[in-house]
Amino acid sequence: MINLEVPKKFQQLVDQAHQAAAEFFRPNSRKYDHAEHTYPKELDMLAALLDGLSASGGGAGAGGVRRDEGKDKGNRNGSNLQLLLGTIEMCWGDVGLLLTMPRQGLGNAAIASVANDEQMERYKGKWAAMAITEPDTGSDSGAIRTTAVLDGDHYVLNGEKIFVTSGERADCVVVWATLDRSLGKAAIKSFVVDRGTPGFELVRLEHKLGIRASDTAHFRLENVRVHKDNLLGSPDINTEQGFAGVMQTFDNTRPLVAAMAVGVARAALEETRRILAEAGVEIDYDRPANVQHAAVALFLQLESDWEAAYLLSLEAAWMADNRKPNSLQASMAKAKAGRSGSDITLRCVELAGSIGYSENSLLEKWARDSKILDIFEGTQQIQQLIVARRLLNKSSAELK
Amino acid sequence: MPRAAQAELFVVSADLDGRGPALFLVESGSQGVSVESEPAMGLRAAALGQLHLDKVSLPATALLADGKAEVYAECVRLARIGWCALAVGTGQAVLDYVIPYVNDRVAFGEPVSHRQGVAFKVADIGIELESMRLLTYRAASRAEQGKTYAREAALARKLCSDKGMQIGNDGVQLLGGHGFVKEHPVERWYRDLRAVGLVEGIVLV
Repeated sequence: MINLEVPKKFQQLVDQAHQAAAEFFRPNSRKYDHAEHTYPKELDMLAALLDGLSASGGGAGAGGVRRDEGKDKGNRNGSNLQLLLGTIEMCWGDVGLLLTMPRQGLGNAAIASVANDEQMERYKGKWAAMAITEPDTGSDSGAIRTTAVLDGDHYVLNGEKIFVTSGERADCVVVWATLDRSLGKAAIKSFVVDRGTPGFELVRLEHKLGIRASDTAHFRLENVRVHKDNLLGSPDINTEQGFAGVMQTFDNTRPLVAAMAVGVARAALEETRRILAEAGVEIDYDRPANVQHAAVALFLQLESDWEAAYLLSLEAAWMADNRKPNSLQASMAKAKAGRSGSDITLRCVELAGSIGYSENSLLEKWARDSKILDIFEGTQQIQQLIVARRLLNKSSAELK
Repeated sequence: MPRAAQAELFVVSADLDGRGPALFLVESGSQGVSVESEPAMGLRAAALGQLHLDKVSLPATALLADGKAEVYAECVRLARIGWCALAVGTGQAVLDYVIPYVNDRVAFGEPVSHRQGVAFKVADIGIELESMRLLTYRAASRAEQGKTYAREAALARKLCSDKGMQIGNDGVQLLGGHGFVKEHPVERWYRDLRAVGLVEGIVLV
């Protein structure tokens, strides 16, 4: 059964991640919130450190989401839980900076998850972004219109991609495109497009509510030729399997986004607790909430939601490590952490009054940064749909 | 308190010489002890009652644990976890009842569960119920292992009380008019869950 405490063997990693977040992220947090679209050069040293950790099999990096082989019996605390705990600490530091860590992109996770050995070798050490969303398609990723047509040894890609995290900074972008729109989701494949490939044009970078340290790119693809070896996974169109393979990746990545929300919200709660204490308001866990200061009652409510988001995330990651189907729990974690993260950080702004609203504190920034975590990697409503379908035993055709 | 009229022994918390609460063992037959039935909104099967103490004289040995404040605090914390478990079980009953109901109930030509307004409420019951369960397990597990658990018990208590009431309310709503009548058990669970939102103390003893 799951142990709801941090396993002893991961305590050192948690401490290291926390230290890195405190030394590299926090001091640069406000700087790159202001300097949107400027690359945070301070990350280079930390990125090199993380590369070293990944090479030795550890680290908080995008090592992909392959499920661990090996130990078959008993309780396994593996790479999913480890990555989750590291992510919480890093996002306690700054979620925007974590999202723009070199060589730790979502594209790297995709490559690590589905690439063959030759591709793994070829893209080793590269920074890979991920391009799924299009101007007309967000949550409904099965409806993408970017096309890939085989022409000799190359695929020719045409289309438009938006909301590409680290799109400008990455060495390459994993682009989703369809081989044949009439064959539906099964025909959607991912292609690695190197930056600088002719026809792969950066249209612009978004200006955003939060996570401004992380760049968000818009690309146009006009007759972009990529070698057929750049297709990740199998080129065959298997209409039986459909989207299942791609969607399974989300079972492992959604708990990580939940972890981001948990990390940011913890930062806000810690800062608010400090500010309340300075004002003479201490939280007493033994006394009933309703006989304490109204600020304490609210704080306890926020902290109980935080604890729920945290434990649901641990559970989803632990299930992945133990090869238990965790689609339901991954979506529960993402739904709870996404909405609680936004709610907690905004309520902390409120609790801290004018200090919370001012740029002299990071509270207002955390409230802005949190919002995206209830949107990307599946919005709140998409998670609710998934949870509802599972609980009610409904297909996606029955419950839309 | 539950089953007050039948109980032979009461564990009573009382202020000890102005030093704060301590626990005493009181026999139901003692001089000055009387019990009054107190019908309530929920927990009716528990036959709640009120205990009156009028100049009850107790031997010194009736004081539990030498009146140590920590023992009293410990009892309150453990009782909180007990209340959480009550909320989790009752919440699960609501979810288990609501799922077949919204799948069977047809409106506008299809099961009402095919509507997002209904389905998302069911999803939220599931999400919050799992949250309540995990917080309760964590508090209980820390208590069991001899770790500190005041924080975990308080947070579990807060979540189970807030979300437990929400689940009861949503359960009634999902059944519509049928949720309001006694033909279905959901209105009873709603009333029972309401108790978790307000009862504090060692009532579960």
